[in-house]
Amino acid sequence: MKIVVLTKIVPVRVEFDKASKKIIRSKEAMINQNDLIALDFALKLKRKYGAEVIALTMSPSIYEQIFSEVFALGSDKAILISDRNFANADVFATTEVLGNAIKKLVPDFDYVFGGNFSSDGFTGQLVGELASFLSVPFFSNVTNVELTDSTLNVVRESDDSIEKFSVKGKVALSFSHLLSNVALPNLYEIFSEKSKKVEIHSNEDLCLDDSCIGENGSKTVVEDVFELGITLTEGLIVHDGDKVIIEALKVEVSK
Amino acid sequence: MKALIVYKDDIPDVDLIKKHFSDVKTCSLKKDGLASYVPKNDVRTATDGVEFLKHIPDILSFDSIVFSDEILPKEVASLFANYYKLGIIAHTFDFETNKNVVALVHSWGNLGMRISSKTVPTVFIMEKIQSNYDQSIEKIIDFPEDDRCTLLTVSEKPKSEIETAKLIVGIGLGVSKEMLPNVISFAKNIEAAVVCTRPVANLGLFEASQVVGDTGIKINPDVYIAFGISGAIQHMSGINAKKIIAVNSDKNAPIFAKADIKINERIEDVIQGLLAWSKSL
Repeated sequence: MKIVVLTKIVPVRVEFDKASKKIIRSKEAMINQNDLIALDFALKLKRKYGAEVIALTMSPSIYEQIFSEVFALGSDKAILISDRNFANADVFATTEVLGNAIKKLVPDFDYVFGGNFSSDGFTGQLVGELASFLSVPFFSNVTNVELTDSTLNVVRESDDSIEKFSVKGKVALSFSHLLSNVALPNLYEIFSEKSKKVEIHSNEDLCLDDSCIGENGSKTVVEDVFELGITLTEGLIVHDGDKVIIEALKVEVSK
Repeated sequence: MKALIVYKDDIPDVDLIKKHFSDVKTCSLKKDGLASYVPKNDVRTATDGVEFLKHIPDILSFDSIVFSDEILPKEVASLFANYYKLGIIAHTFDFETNKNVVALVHSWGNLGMRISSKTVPTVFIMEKIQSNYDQSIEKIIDFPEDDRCTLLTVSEKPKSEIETAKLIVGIGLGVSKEMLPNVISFAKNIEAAVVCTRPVANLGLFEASQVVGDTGIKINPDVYIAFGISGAIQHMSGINAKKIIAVNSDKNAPIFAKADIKINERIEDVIQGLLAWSKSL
C-alpha cells in the first residue's frame, strides 16, 4: 500500500503591506498543520496494515530542511517538486504539477491524503482537483479511515450528518481540520532518519509544457488586493459600553 | 449573463446573484429539492455530482456556476472545475460584471481581492445564507453513479456544547494577554461558552474545536459577545446569532457592520464593569 501525503510548506506569518498593496509571506516557514492530521492517518494505516508513506510538496528548494522534518514524523519518502517556473500557480496549475508528479514518481499509489485547507490559502480545493486529475473518488472533511480487506472505509462529516462509505481502489481524501491528532516526531524515526534524503525534482524531470504551469497554466488572476473596512457614521457607543452590555445581557443571563 | 447555482440544503444570496446575472437557474444535489435541475437520486459523492452536472443541458453555456460552501457542493466544485479545466474562485462575496465576471473575494483577515478568471464558465464558491429558495423543476436528471463508492451508513451529526450554547463570548486578536483572563472570567460568570478566531487559536491559546468560522465550527447563539474581533468573514461566516454585541477599539472594524450593539471602546475600558456585575450574579 502506498499513501501519498500532500504536505505544504506554509509561511508562519502572512501580512499585508498597505503601501505596496502586497501580501507579504514570512520567510520563516513550517509544515501546514492540517497536513499533519492527514499524515497521522497515513501513519496509523502504516502501523496497522503496512504501507509506504510518501510526503509530497511543491515548494522552493530552500525549504528542503523544513520539509525533511516529515522523516522524523515517520514518512518513508519525501518528494519535493521545485522549479522557478512553477511559481505563482493557482490551484489548477498546482494540480497539474502535483498530479503529474504523482503519475510519474508514484504511479502505483493507492491513496492521496491531504489537509482540508492550508493556513496560507484557506480555499481547500487542491485535493479535489487532484482527485479529478487522477480520476479517483474524493471525500473531504474525513474524520476516520479503516481498511477492511481491500476496501477503505471512509467516515465523512457533512454539514448535518456523518456518512460512512466503503471505497474500492484508489481515493483522495482531505481530513477534517477540527481533529486534534497530528503526526508527532518519534525517537525511532529520528534515529533512523539519517539515511533518508529528500528527493528533489524539477520540471526537467516532469517535462511539463510552460503553458500548463505557473502563471501561464493558472486559470485565475488576482487583479487587486484591498482592505475591507467600514465607515460607520452612527450607532457607535464610545462611552459606558459596559453599562450598555449589562443592560442587554440582563434578560439573557436570567433565562 | 447566465448563472447556475448548485447547492444541497442551503443556497447563497440569490438576490445578489440576480443583480449581476439576468438568467439564474438552480441545481439541487437532493432529489427532493425544488430547483431548475434535480437529480433522479440523491448525489452522495463528488464524482456523482460531476456526472449529474455533466448531464445538465448546455452546462458550459453558463457564464458562472456558483456552488454553495456546504461540504458536498464544495467537493463537487473542485472536481467539476478540474474536469472542465475551469477557473475556480472560493470565498466569493460579490461580483463585478462588465464584459467578464470578476469575483470579489474575502482573503486573509480583512483583506479583499478582485480575482478574474481566464475561463467561461468560471466556478465560484459562495457562502450559504438561506435555506428556502424554490424554483419550478425543469428537468429531473438521471446519471451513472460511481460504483467504486458505497454508502454504508448515515447518522445525525451530534452537536457539541458550544454549538448549542445560547450565550457565547468570542475572543479575537484584539484581546491582549493581560485582558484574556478577565474576559474568560466574565464568560464563566455569565455561563457563556468561549470561542475564538483562527488567528487566536494559532497562538496555541485555544483548542481547534473552539475556532468559529470557515475553518472551524458554526454557532447559533441568542447572543454573541465579540471581544477584539475585527469581523473577518472567515470568522463571521460561522455565526448565526440573534444578537451580536461587538467590543472593538477600531471604529472601522467590519464587525460593526453586523453588530446590533457596537461598543467602540478598549477592552480595558469595559471589562472591569462587566466583571463586577457578573460576579454578583
